[in-house]
Amino acid sequence: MNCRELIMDVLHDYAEGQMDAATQEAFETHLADCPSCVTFCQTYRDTVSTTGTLRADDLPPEVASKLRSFLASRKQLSWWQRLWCR
Amino acid sequence: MHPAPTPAHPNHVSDLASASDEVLLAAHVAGDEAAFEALVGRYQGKIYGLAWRMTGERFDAEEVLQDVCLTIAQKGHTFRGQSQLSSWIYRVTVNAARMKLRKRRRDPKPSEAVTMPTFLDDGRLGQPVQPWFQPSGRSTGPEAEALHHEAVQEIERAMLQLPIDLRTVLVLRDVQGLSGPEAAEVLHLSIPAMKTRLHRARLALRERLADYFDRPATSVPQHEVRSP
Repeated sequence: MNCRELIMDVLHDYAEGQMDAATQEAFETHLADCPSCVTFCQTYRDTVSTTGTLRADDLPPEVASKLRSFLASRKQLSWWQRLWCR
Repeated sequence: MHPAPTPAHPNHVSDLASASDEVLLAAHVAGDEAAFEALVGRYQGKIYGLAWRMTGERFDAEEVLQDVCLTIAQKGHTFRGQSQLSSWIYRVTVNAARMKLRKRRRDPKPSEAVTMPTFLDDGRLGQPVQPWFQPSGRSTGPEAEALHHEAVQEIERAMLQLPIDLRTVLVLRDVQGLSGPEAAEVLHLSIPAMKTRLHRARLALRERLADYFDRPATSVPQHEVRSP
């Protein structure tokens, strides 16, 4: 296994913990002899973990308030629509 | 026309907090307004966050959020339960955000935006790889906090420079925390295709972040610097 194969073909499965035993052995053999790939793998994992620290579901209060108004206007509209359809 | 929701209604949900998404949707379709509000409350932040990171604009994200809520309100009855409701909501969000981008033609061309690691003919890495400092390391205090804030802004900026397909899969998997199969379902991709795209996205993001995170550590406290 060379650097290209490790990075392009195997690294994703390594980060996801999905490597089979044979691949794992080849992976570790390469890393034992390649400091650049050790650092590359670490920074790839850093990329995944730092991205995971971004907040996924914060809603700014002013957006929440606008949404409430929007949904309230929808409710009023559908009430008028229902009345109109009678 | 939906009947007015009352506690006596067979589809009225008494415990909104613990009800599943699907139960809330069914109750909403049967006319339970509180169930609709609970469902929206559960997803509004996720919808907004995904839309904002896809479009890069707060105003667009607000409009996407409203569009998606409207779709849930008006087309929730068309949900057939063949996938998880969350996947359906994410898919509606992705489509609405894409529509916004298409209208405004703001997405950079992929060929301009993606940088991948380079290799020599024999397959060895073509450039030296530096270790990164850790902005969110163990230390606390105003300086570490400022560094963390700066790093977060840098990550957000770097993500926005990725092409939309890469950005979307990255947000779904690594920010929103969807499982691989769920992200594949949202994006209408096979699992191997989703994995390939995600790996490409992470590699491209790593290349962009490397410019920031492997800078000389003189501007950060020594305890923040990790040895190779």
